[in-house]
Amino acid sequence: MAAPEKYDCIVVGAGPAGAMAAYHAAKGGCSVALIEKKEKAGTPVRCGEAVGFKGFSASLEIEDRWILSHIKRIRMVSPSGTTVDLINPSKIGNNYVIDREIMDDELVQRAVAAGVSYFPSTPVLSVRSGPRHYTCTTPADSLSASCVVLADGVESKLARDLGWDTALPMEDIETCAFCHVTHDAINEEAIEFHVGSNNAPGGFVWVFPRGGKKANVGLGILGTKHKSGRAEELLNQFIDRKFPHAKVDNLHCGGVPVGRWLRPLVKNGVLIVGDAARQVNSLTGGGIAYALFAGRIAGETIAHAKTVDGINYRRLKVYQKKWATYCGKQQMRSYALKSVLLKKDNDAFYNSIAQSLAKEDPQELNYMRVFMRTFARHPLILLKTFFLFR
Amino acid sequence: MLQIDKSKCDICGTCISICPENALELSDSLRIDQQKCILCNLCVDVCPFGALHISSNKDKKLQKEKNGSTREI
Repeated sequence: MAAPEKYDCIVVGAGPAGAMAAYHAAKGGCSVALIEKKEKAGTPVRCGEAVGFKGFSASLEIEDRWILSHIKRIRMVSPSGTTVDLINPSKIGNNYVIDREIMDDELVQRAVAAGVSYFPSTPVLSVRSGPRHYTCTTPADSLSASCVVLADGVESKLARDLGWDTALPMEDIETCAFCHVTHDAINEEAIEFHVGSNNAPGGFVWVFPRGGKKANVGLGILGTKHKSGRAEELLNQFIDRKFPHAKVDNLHCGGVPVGRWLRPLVKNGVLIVGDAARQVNSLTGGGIAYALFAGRIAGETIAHAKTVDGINYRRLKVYQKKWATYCGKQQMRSYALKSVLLKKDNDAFYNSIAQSLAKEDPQELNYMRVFMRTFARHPLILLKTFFLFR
Repeated sequence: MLQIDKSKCDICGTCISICPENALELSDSLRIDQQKCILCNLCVDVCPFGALHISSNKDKKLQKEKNGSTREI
């Protein structure tokens, strides 16, 4: 039997985190295998697809062909229907709804163009560690590498096989149902967030336009507040209320991790990135910017760790250091805020905040003001999270 | 025992992320390792489409009595 093909690095999962890791490792001179269980990575799309320019562009230039909508207004809707609008671009930055199918595909193509060996339709059944190398077993074959990047998503299993405890507690997951809705009432330039127990207990409903009177409409319910099938039920109810007789298609579901980012991010020669590493904003459920960033620094770190004798495992720890410095604190902040918000998660609370914010000049509203108003009556909370803002 | 309604399962993997016993597996479809499953019900509760449920053992008991068999089913 032939010895397994040997690479510097194997990346499992070709979503944004994995594709970026593979690309940057290859650009830095490593031989890379990128293995993806699906025929096309990231299909069906399980994502709201909204991004802020600032976070995204820290890792990647946003291409015009990926953009479905330019967002001019962020609207929050309270349980009683009070709306709070954020409309000043100098306060809220530039926000877009992007086409993940196109973007994900292109990121993989770029990796391949950089020399990455790509294996779609290939599930990795197991990862075994050996002396200074790892062996990935697929149904047809075995591949081996000095190091491995696990980018296998929210449903990641391989990390558990390698000693990580990645099982999420129910208060650290949003269980989501989402679809495409086509309806005249959809505003092509506005994204909406609806909160309240009738909408999405412990989470929110999102309406993210994708052009032409079509929008991503979905909701997330906190695991502890969910009962079997409720996400789909509540989504249908929301659509019936807000978009009666709409055309609905592409109904899918999925989970969003809203816990703390996983520690450690590196174990010997294994790095973990993206949803698998729980690198997601706990308040918004946003993970694209984090995934791109983590993928990039993981790939760059691997390239820098390459020596004539193989990959220096100690140098791989730089990846976690960089993540902790640039993103870790912010992510922990989002987690602290989410925990606090969940204690207050009741309709009266949201209604009272919305009422006071609705009196303000929309041109002046920014995230900080919303935050301060939300937690104004809770000085202990502000104190608790203060140290995270330093 | 834990059972899947394949007509409802979207193969999203949410159940896998919360299973404390690593008893669920995704490939072309969702698979359950009944040996590992402790019937904690978390996956049933978390499933956005309600594709999982735990069947009662009452039916199996009745079946056993009817057959007059003492073998384990």
